Amino acid sequence: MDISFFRRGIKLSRRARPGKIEQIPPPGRAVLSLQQGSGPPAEPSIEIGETVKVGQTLAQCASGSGADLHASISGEVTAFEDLHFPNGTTVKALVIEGDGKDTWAEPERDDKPLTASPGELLERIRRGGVIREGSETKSLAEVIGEAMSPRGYLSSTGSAVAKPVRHIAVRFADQDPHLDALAAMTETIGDKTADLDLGVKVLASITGAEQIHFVLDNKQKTPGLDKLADDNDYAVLRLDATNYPDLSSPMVARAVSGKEPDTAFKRVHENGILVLDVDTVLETALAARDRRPVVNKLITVNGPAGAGVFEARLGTPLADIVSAAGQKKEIGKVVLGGPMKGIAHHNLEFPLTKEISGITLFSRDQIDLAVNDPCVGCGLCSMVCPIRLTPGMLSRYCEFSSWDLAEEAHLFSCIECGCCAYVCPAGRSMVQFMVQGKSELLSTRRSES
Amino acid sequence: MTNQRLVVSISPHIKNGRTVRRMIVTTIVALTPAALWGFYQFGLDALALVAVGITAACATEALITRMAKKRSSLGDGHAVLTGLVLAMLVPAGVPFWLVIVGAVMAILVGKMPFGPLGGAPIYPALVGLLIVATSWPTEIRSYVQPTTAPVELKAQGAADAETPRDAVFIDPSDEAEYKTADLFVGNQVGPIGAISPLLLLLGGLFLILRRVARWQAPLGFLLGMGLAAGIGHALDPSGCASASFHLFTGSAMFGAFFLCTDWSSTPVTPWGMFLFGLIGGGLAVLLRIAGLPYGAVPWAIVIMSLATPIFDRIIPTPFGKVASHA
Repeated sequence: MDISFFRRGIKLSRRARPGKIEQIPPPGRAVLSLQQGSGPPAEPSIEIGETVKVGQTLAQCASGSGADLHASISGEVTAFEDLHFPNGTTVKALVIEGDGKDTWAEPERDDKPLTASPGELLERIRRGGVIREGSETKSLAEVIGEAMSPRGYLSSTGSAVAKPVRHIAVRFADQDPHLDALAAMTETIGDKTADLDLGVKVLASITGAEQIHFVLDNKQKTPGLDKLADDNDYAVLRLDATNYPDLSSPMVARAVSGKEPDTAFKRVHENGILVLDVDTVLETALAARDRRPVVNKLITVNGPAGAGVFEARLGTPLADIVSAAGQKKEIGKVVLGGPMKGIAHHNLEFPLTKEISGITLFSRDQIDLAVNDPCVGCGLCSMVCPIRLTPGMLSRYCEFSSWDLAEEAHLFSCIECGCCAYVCPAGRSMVQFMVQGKSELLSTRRSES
Repeated sequence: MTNQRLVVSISPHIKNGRTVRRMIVTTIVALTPAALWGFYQFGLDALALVAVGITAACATEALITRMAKKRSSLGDGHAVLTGLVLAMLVPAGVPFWLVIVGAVMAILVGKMPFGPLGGAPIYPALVGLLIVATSWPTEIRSYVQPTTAPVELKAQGAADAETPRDAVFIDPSDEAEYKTADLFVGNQVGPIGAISPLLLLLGGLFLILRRVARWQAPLGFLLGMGLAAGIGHALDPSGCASASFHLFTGSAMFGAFFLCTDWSSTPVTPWGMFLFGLIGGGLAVLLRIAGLPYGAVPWAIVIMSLATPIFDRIIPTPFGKVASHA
């Protein structure tokens, strides 16, 4: 029995919602990483010197959790380039020098995608390079493919990962209330409601999900969505996005089913609930009907000069997007994603990839340098932890390399939401300790097995 | 590559701006009304004792950090809090040197050997207090007649005076002389800062609302004391005072809200905190009935602090896990 009674998680302020999406013109030169998401890099299927059109396949992943890659501008493939990711890895990227014409490849359109077999639809989603963002960004086809053919294989962590999907929850607002992209997309969804409906039906046809849920922020006004939900018997659920992390996948899954999913080992759809973002669903519809691959990305730019939502081609240098957003003040820190879960990058020349949901900029005077004092044992972290862990204790175990004790105290259940670090008066890098502990334990286990 | 230099760090990239210093200042603010009431009741002597306690604690800490060539930790305010709590827990008639020794011991023995803030297994102010209480058992009971207390101290001369609590334990029939309302508001004899359960209760609630303290330990402690005293009183009215009497005298309320909610010496898990308080409260009543002449509440909390690592193992079932029956 939990006797905390105070609401867990933290209260974040809501930023002014931009409400409109600005288009950023295709760049003159696009750098496209072969790795999009956390899966393995795709195999290039074109040669240097070839001319490509927008949407033409550049690289494919035969199977697994990687995503296919498509040209985002038309022009000539000129080189392979090394790309330094914020997590420290280096990945090959293709460089396209644009011809400025922006000619699109014209794949064969299928006007009745729902008559296709689930296997065919799954293949179209895979070939469309659709990914699912989450704690582990994977190819969407990989995520829902598991559900289609449930074989109880063992992952490296020794746990079965395949589970059937019963519910699909579509999220219409970012889990971080400082990101606006999904909310702006929802506000301007208008004539795309048909696409949304198609995407949902395609996903339901592949996974066999029985119930669709629309998960909205309680401040969103969405008459079009309400009508769509009414007509199709989709459930509508309104949550308060400022109660971070109530819109994260495990919390949405609990809100939808009333049951708590196990969060250990980043299980994707425990309890049979698949949580997807609205942009993923729209991309699914385009991939299934128009066979149009993912070449655009909607991102929030949040910085000292205010917030904006932009749509840009993949491979556009982030610096271009930042200057288009009018962020001119000297920048001290660049975060890919929102302020709570984003990852800081050292280089603004990095190109836009599929897993970047936003850019959060901090000017030099806004940066909190890590203090990392010893834990004072105040217990605030235990109070806010949405997973009911004792983060202070876990951070101490990890600080002093007592990995086994950390695991015993359920380290693997941590969702790295950052609430503990947000409230920590000693300024400890809590998430750092958790991530380090997990990777130490997993690497030991891999070397043992 | 640009030559602009960017900072990288792990998420989250924003914080709520809470610092150790601010939380300690909040605790001091919560203690202030009770301290001011003490100054009003006991006059300038009480004020001087508090000032001496704070000065001695700060000076000791400054000296030790300097000798150990560590960064000065005075800025977080913990030394001030330690001196303040210590002085608030002694009667107004104690000699100055007693408070000085207590404050020096609190920092020297209770806090600094355990490294930075957060390491102390026992609340440092209690270490200092119990060292002087054990060493000078007569001096520590130098109670002074407060300005507004309706019941006169029994014996003349500070050194022999008695708190209402002592009076009852010596002769439980005296309990009838005290009105519960008087005790609750703070018209009673006792330590400088602990005579007004009302103001301490308000201060404690303020701490809980500001999320500096949790409610589980205080509730558990008051419940434990109330239950133990209630049962004791029902069984033997002459041997054990009533629950309200136990709760409103001595440092019961102070202990519940300001000692049971210390950071490093108490558990952090919800059930751990509650049980810590519950058992501690029962223990405090037992010690009082057993006739401990001074400091039943501080002793009970110190003993419980030693068991904190055990209570910290009572962790809640995490999200999505099934409760284990191990």
